[in-house]
Amino acid sequence: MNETERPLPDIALVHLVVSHYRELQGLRTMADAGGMVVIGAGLCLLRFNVTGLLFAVDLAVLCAYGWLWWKWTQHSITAYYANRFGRVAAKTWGPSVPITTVIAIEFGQSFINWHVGTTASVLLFVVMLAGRPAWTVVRDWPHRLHWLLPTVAGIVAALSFADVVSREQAGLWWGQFDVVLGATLLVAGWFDHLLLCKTLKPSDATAEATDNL
Amino acid sequence: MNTPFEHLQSLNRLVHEPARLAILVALSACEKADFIFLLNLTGLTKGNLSSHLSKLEQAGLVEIEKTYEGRMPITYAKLTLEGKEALKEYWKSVDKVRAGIKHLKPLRTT
Repeated sequence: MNETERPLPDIALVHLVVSHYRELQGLRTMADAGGMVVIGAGLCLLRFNVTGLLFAVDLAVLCAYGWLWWKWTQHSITAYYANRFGRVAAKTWGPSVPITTVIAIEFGQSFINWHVGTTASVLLFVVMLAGRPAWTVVRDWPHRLHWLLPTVAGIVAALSFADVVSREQAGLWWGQFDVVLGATLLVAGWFDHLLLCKTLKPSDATAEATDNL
Repeated sequence: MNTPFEHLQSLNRLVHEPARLAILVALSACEKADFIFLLNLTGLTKGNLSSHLSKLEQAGLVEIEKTYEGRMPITYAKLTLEGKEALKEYWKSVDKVRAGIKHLKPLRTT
């Protein structure tokens, strides 16, 4: 095989990709965000009193999704990235943005019971929902501008919580923004995946390389 | 006080080479990375990457670890303490060069 070399990538991009390799594995973000969409859709159906076949289908999809996520998706995605781009042992890693978003939304429901107050609730939600995506944009500037989409969605979700006054409304808000935020995270995850594909473009040599030292 | 050119001359040549610098920067951002990852990241050929890693290993800047995942052999590269220190010193030298050339005025051409 004729081995060819491509130009070296920008050093800042090298540092970004290596230090956030797991976070940039967009398919992982997409898998988690897909779960958010399914949960949100189920909650919306429940709040709109759709209890027939449609709800049963959503529940079945949610169960299947959860089971697949636990048993197959995570391992397959890890194996996919390891085999396609290689392995990196990260210094630190935490839960994905979709998971922290779901936790934030669920935790935020308590603001109603605790009588936190509208302004404080909205501000807390801005931090919880838009904080991490916004930080991603700033930290990885200009490579991950696509995280502006979840940032804006997070701010909109936080602002619309100002109209929520009852637990019923909070449930509907939860469902709607699980879907909206999940959809934006699906997009952000896809662009992260593309960034990884662009930066870690396999050279001709990679196909044969296993152990070469 | 040293001139920018003296600082340039004092740069560690082993680290200054672009491919090796990319490898060292990559390894400084993680615990360890495998051969395939470094190959994809740098876009080097297998031979060139092996050669650069060997040089870095001989200089004690990088540690090579061979392991198996199932039946698949995997070669990990890891930055040593010496490597971390060399990279830190390199960036300090680059900063000195940068600070030095700030005072240089460009030649005026008509």
